[in-house]
Amino acid sequence: MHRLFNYAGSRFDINDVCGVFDFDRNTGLIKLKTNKQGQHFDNLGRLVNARGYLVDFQGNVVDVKGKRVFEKKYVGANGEIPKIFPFTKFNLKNILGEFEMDPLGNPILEKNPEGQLIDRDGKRVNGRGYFCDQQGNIIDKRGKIMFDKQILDPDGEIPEVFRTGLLKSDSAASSLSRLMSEIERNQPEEVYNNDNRNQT
Amino acid sequence: MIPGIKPTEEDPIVQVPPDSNKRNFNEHDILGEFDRDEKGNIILLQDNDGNCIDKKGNRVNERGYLIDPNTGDIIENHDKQKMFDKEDIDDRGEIPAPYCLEKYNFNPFKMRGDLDIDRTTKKPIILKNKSGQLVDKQGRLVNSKGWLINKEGHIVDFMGVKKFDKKQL
Repeated sequence: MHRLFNYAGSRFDINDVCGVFDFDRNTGLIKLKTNKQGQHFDNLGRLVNARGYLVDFQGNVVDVKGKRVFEKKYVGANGEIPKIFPFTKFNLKNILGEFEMDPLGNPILEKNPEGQLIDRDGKRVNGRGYFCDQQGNIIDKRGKIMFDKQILDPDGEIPEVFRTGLLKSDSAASSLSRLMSEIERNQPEEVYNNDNRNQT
Repeated sequence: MIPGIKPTEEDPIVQVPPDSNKRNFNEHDILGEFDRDEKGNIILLQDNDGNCIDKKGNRVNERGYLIDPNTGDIIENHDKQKMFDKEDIDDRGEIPAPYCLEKYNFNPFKMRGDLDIDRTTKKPIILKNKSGQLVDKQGRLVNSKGWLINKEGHIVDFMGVKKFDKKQL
């Protein structure tokens, strides 16, 4: 299995964040050890969350060396971590408004009569130019939530892995790749025989 | 895969409708059955009417996602329940956010073989059955890294639900 990306764009092996457990033969699920304070541990006495991932005392997911992999705020309420692979597709354009940038690379935005930031098309955006809803969640062009507000930086920026070119966009280029593969499959086989070769 | 193991409401085979907070949606829940090319792209098939279908003849969209032929909604491949409304699918057949981004969810603990760990190398001790296939302590097929696999070599969970195609590894 490929190593995954964390939100900072670093790679990690899924096995390095998993605790070691016995399995309940009836349910097939891992057997967490739990103390009186409700903290969970694995077979090696390491702190884990309810899903079995190694955590520090703040609830951040860590690897076997104690290095932080996911901040607690990035981990779901059930303790599950994001799964971002090198083949995960993401297109920044789907969440970015239309605007010019200043020399420092900051979006030049206007405000609507309610004082909310908008892009050139009048669509609501946050301070970084991403489409957003009333609650500050980042939405895509179709209005669906792409990133919950809680995982954004204080200035409304999305996690680094999504804006540093590490992930390929599912753009026309990807569709072209699929189309080319299909064309290659449907090409009639070239008939090669000695007569043809001798003619050149 | 494990006799007697049944899905529960808390832990269903497929989360219907999908719930992004649970991070258990995997695109294989809605993908038809396909062969893949060397680049890992699915090989779509067509019926006599030019509709996209999978290897079993099920109707799919251009992405290979199973669709209800009457409504165009995307359905899951277990009980054929609706997962996404047709209106929420984009013009390239892609599912809505955030699922289009988080579509490779899996629970690693449900996909590992039951294997002892070598104390020296810290690696799983993989066994072999009489046919020479790699297996875990319960005789289930595993790959060289200890992940449960089906007979086609795709990674599955302990209920046999496909999570990764072998071409994605």
